Amino acid sequence: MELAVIDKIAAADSPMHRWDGRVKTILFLSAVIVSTTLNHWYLLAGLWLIALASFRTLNLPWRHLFIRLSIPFGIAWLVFLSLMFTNGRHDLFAVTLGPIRLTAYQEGLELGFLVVLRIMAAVTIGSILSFSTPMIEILETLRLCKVPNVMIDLAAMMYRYVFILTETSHNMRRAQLSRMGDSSSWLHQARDIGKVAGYILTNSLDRSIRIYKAMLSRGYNEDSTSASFFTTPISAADRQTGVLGGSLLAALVVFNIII
Amino acid sequence: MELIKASGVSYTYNDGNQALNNINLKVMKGERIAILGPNGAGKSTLFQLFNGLLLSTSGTVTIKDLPVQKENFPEIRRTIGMVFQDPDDQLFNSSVRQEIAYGLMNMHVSGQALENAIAWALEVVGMQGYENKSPHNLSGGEKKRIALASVLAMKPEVLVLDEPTAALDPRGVSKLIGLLNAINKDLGITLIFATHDVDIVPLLADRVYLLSKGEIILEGTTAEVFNHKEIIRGIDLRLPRVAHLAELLARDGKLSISDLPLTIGQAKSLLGNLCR
Repeated sequence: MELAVIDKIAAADSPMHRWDGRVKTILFLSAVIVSTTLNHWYLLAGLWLIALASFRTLNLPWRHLFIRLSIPFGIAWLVFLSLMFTNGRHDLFAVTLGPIRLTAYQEGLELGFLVVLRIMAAVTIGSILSFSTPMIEILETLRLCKVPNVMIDLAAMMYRYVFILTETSHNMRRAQLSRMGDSSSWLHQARDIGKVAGYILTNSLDRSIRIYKAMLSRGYNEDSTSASFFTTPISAADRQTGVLGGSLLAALVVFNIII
Repeated sequence: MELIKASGVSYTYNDGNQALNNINLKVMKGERIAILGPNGAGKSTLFQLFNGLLLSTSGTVTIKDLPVQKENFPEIRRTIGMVFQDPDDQLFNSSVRQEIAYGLMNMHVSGQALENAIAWALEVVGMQGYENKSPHNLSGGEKKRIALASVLAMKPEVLVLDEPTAALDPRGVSKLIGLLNAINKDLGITLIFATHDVDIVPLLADRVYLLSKGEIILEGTTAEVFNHKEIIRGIDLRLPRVAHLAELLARDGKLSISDLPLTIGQAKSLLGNLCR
């Protein structure tokens, strides 16, 4: 999915999109952390179902989520298989692959299933956050949460310029293809792609120098700071929804400990 | 009052490329100056000397009588607002509001004064309501306007614009010319811009410095400079389209003129007089 598309999706309109970015970011990142700590599959499944139901409120086609989940699902499936066949004592069944005999275990199956659910729930929650909140708001919320400024600024700049660099690389690749760059051997094509990467690297360096000059021209110095992004307070309704969501997460954590 | 004065300025890059050679120029308050020259003439290098982004290898540049040197940078950068050719080099913040606040905060402006200055700058460039938008989602013309607003907010006395109309569509060019002229007339801000687009020069400049291979080869009013047709053509530039048409008509004996019209407006009144 192209970055520009993600930005457009995040700027769409739905109840979830209208929810304050600060509340959403804190709540959803907390939910990601909670999802990695739950030890009972039914609690995780419940959290995932809530996340899937939340996705419906975005009024987006399911394919957006499926595309986002496809790679993590592949990884989760590999983890599931490796855990099922390597972890535990109680045999479930055995598979024979030529000279190799693999035994699946009850404990491995349960742990693998738990890990799959964790991955899917965490990625779904993270995806909903990115689908409903512009990246700037997520980063600026992290700044409010006292994540070091230098990390936020670096991430914001990378996000800001990755569009331009991506576009440049696409344009260069198109220019290569327009001169039959795809009709040569794969080695030659790999070399062409390498040249694009090299150009992007030097281009990035040149651009960084120009950006630095632009900063200097507007009085940049070691004490320079950024203006706060959020200028309005969080509305009472958004705050209440945040508290409700936070309470639900807290309840999940408590259940997880008690059960 | 001389806002910018360059005396015998030369600049040589580390690789030995001499970009500027013995440049002498003066910019007075309220003027609209074009630095006209082909690619590689040294226009951008010259502009960087005005803002202290580069320091001349010989000669002196003064801004309001202050020599361009490190201890004067804060005052110089408050006086000279620089708008870069590619707005993507200039707009590095996450939101338009942060972008415009950037220079102001470096000037220690805060609170309501900061908010007022942001609102004012956005109003001047006609971009109210864009505060929380991300610069990378804007069109080329919008980016240019925000880049301009980010500098205007600092209330500079001189706006230095490097190729201001580069990569803009015709409507964007017209809008920007109107905006820059209004900034000069209404706010009294001195304009100095570099370009190789000869068609915008008569619309946006009172005086022109013609730059070629790092040297000023002509200076004067717009009409005076464009009267030196052979010199202009000799450095891979051309006359404005309107002037070229008038020149062809005059050559064919269909038009008798002393001064070439440089803008559509001038051509209209000239042809109007002939048709009477």
